[in-house]
Amino acid sequence: MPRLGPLASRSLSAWGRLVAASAFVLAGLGVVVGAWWATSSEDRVTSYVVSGSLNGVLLDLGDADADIMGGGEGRPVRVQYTDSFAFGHAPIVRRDVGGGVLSIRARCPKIVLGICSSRYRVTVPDNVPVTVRTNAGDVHFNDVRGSARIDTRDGDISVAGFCGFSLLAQSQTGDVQATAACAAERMVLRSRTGDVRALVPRGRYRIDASSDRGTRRLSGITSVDDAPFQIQALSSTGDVVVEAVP
Amino acid sequence: MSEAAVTDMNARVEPESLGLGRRLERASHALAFIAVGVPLGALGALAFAGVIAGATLSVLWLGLPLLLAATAACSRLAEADRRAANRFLDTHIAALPPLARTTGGPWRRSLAMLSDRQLWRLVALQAVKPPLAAATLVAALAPVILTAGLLGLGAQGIIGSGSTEYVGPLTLGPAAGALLVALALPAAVVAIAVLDGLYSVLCTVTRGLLVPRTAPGGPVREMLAESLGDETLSIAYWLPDRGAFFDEAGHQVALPDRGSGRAWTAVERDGRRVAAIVHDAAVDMGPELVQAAAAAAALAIDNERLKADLRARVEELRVSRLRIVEAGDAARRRLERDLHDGAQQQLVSLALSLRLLRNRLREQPHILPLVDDLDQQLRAALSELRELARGIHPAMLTDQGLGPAIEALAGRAPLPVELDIAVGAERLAAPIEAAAYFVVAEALTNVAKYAGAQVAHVQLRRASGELTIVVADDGIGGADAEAGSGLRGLHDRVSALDGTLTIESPPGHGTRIHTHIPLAPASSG
Repeated sequence: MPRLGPLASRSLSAWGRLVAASAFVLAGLGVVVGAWWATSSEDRVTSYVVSGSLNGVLLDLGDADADIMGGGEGRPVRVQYTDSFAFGHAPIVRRDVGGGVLSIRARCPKIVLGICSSRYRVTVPDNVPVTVRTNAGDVHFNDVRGSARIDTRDGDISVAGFCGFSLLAQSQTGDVQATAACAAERMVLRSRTGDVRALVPRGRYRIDASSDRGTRRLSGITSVDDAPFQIQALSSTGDVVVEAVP
Repeated sequence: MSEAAVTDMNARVEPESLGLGRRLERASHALAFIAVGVPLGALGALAFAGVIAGATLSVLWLGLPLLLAATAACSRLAEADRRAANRFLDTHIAALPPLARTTGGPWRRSLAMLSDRQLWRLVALQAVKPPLAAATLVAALAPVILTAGLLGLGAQGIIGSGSTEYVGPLTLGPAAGALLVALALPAAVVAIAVLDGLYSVLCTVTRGLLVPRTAPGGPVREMLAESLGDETLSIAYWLPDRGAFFDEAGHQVALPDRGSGRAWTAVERDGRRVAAIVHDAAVDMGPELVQAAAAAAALAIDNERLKADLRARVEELRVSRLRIVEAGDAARRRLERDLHDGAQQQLVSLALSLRLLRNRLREQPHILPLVDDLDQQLRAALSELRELARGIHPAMLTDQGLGPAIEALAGRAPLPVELDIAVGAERLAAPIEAAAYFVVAEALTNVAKYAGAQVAHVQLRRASGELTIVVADDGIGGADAEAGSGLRGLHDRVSALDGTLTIESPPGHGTRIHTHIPLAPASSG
């Protein structure tokens, strides 16, 4: 029978063996999950066109970012989105057309130890009202000609080249910024903690701009009570700026 | 094999313990120290920033008050660190030496304070503390958060509550929940191991940062070393009644021989030999310079010489006490051996003869009860003799060392004893082993007699050049170290080895006896 020499007395104690085994299990699991994550990660791009006459577009996108582009007169609605995910846990997308309104609802599943994100790019024709709702996703409008309503919880809102009947953009914590290419009959920009900034063509507006704790600045705009166009820019703690486009 | 040997071997059989209770205690103490260290680290960063700002502005004479306030804050924070380390890490760091104080105006006092090396060491400590606190916080919390996360997600999966749908590749349901809860176990083991390791690391680092570094030769040596430009300089004090040179700690020293690379210069005062300055022979210092420095410092050196004389007497006393203890132990060992080899063997032989006699007297049943009675009395006498021999000096301690002897001791205790012994395979010096053994024996006897405890814990650690013994119980506490002669005797025994023995016994919270014995005493005489 072999004799146990000094090496045996220097070997790991029961506790040392337990710790080594535990660390081995966790490290092994970490390596396996990491390798699985790396091999299963993918970016999936989907695009489609919705033809025919639509009365509106409603996007409810959760944490996804949205780029809404003006598409011109009589063009179809084009939707393109990129989903990034791992382990096959892709965002769940529900698409529906009812009452002439295209509705898209996208949500990532609640994941611990994994990724899931989306980015939407939607081209809408002129005079089609657009409604976008997100939680953490940012929303960008570019050259949209039609009424729009945007609601975010934490995402920023930026609207450029807007020309429509009404624009309602509000966020809880994000910044709201809108540049109008033509005077909208009603432009409402609100944020609870973010900054609010409106750039509109020179002219006479009914302006309600205020901030509880931030600064308020009007520049190049004449505020009159009987003006045909209304601007409301409100923030609780952020700065509020309403100014004319140079 | 004798019956005594069989009994002792049985007492040693004990399963290898994970020491989980102790590890959890150390882990919780490490967490508590880190929790205290984070705000202290943040304050330390502020104090250090104050020192930098004060030093920068002092060019304009404006920063001096800020500099003084910030350095004082650094000193107080270091003291708070020391208290926290002693409270949670059991580091036994002595109080930090007071900062230099002098008389004179505020400007002079400020300069004296700012030129104190100890102060700048404490300031440097505050610079090191914030990153150290942050690093230990991350290292400590990462495995704890992993464990808590696995448990929380596992519970969600099993109960079906919560909004999480997937954990990595798994769909969170009862099966995945059970798997995550199972994985929380190794995560918890790793968390405890990390915190346990951090406890040791923090002990070492904190000791390294906070244990005061006094100059080996005191202020006179420092002054001479600085003036003569030789950091290796030392002073040997002449004690005329002993006719020899001694160092500041009271140990006899020999002056260097010619050609050894060291040289020495005699210091005399009023024609009396006082000391010798031992310096590097290669350092370019003329004998006139050394003589001049020696003459200037002669009075101070003579004062230091008197202190060295006192310390030499203390050292002599300590060594003689150690010799008495060693002689006592040797006598105990002889007595135990005599009892074991003499009276005990005779009694065992008598017991065997009595059994033979009993077998022969089977035909005379009226005598058998008398023989059985004799046999009982003989067994009782043998048992008492064995106990007596163990109390005098355990043979197992001599033969097999401290670990097995303590295990046997715990095996005989009338209450459960959790052992955690890490003293290594190498034997310790006999006086140290004996002191450690009798500390544990006396402490366990006291626990059994007075503490009303459910369980006792015995920990022996050999680390950092010392043997640490902790005996703790969950009894009624309130023990008085001065009440019994046993603990006083142990205190003397431990002191003779340059060790310390402290008792914490708050009423209602059990008793802890901490003993520290240096493995290499200053001198063995």
